Amino acid sequence: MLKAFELIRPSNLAEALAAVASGATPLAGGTDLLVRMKKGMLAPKKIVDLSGLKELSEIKEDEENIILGSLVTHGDVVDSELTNNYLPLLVQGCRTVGSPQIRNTGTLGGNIVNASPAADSVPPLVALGAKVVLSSVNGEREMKLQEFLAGPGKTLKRPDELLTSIVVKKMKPEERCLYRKLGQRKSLAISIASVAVKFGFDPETKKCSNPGVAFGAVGPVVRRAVELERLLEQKKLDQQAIKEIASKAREFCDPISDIRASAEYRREMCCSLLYEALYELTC
Amino acid sequence: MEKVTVNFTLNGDHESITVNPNLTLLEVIRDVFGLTGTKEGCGHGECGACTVLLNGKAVNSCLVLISQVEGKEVTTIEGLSRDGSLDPLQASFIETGAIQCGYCTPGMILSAKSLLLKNGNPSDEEIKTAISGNLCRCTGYAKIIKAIKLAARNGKTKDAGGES
Ligand SMILES: Cc1cc2nc3c(=O)[nH]c(=O)nc-3n(C[C@H](O)[C@H](O)[C@H](O)COP(=O)(O)OP(=O)(O)OC[C@H]3O[C@@H](n4cnc5c(N)ncnc54)[C@H](O)[C@@H]3O)c2cc1C
Ligand code: FES
Ligand code: FES
Repeated sequence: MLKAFELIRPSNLAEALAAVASGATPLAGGTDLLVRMKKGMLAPKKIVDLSGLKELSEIKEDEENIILGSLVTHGDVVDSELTNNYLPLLVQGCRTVGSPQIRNTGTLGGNIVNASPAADSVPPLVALGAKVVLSSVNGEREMKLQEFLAGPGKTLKRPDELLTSIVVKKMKPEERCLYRKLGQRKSLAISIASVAVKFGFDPETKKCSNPGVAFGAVGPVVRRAVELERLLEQKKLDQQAIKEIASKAREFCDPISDIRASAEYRREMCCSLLYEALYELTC
Repeated sequence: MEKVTVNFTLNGDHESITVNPNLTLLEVIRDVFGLTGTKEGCGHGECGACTVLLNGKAVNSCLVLISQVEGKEVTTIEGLSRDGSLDPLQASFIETGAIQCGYCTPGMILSAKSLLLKNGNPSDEEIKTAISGNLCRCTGYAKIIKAIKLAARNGKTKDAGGES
């Protein structure tokens, strides 16, 4: 049984912000938090259950962006017309999370704040240049998701803040994208290595535009590979160029060895995953 | 520990319970309501034995805190049969022999139910995805997939016949 705690059940965002300001730990879907509490890694004294907050559960759009509430689940992303139309890369990432049950409860906000280098919604969001919105009783601030991620399990979120939404520029209809994840099996597998790639591509000239590339599980945080993006933009993407660029992926990752894979294997897999992705996207 | 009152629907009945907040939905289903069809395997979201429907979607009840079901509809295996007649999935699992020890069966059937609620004519791939969070150590899954296909077909003929 879970250790005793005080539970706060806010009826709106203001009450939730007051609760975190008083030191309560936020509970979204609970798929990370409850596991850690059950394993005895965490024993919060006070928990604020965000799950009823409708204002954080919506997927909206404006002219340029898709705005995802932090309580949007991976399953919501997979099912929503807005994300399928404008953020297919994120849909692909969310589709690989855990199992249907985990996708139906696990949220984007929880996935991001948990700050696992292997979080599957994060490489797509980073490759797309997503921003996060943080709120507290004192106001709101916005920053690039890339900057928000500070290390394994670490973010720049202050204890009195909630992640309230994620803002992502709409992809253009002509942009191609792929999220590729290597796990020990197809479902319920934590990423050993993953890559998210998107760009506009002209099959005539084989030139790409507006590229985004990010790797997961091969460094302390999910990181955008800006140097690889530059190479992608400069070169005519024929077979030779794709091989060359993919082989450079190892320079942009800084993996660890753990029970799932060795650092060297991860480095090799980064190159292979990127090669596969570039091959599929340019043929 | 201050207790919480949670209002929700369990298998069609409105319930209001006042309990300690550190209970999971699984503990409430089994220990408060005595509905032992829902099983605990791993307790960590890995096996799917504890799967129930929350507003029609499959979730691991071992990883849902009781306050999270406020205002929602919970369906357990006990809530699938209607007026004494089995759900097409329950009937097809029996007919196909998709059950051996039976420990995974309630969760497996609810994952399948969540699929059929959305998609009455699923492909093999869609069925495999839908049950990918449910482990079965006995059957090898082939008969489970067969049973779900059979239920999809039977469900349709029933609808066409005007019953539901
Ligand atoms: C069996 C299993 C398989 C899994 N497989 C995968 C997988 O394949 N890929 C993957 O990426 N993840 C996986 N996960 C991890 C987890 O499901 C995801 O990270 C999920 O998105 C977490 O979201 P949540 O809403 O459940 O988070 P919670 O557990 O509710 O919260 C996680 C952390 O974030 C904090 N938090 C949550 N929301 C906010 C907010 N809005 N503002 C501030 N802080 C907040 C919480 O306090 C907590 O510290 C798996 C988990 C399990 C149990
Ligand atoms: S008991 Fe809940 S998933 Fe195993
Ligand atoms: S029938 Fe025994 S675990 Fe599935």
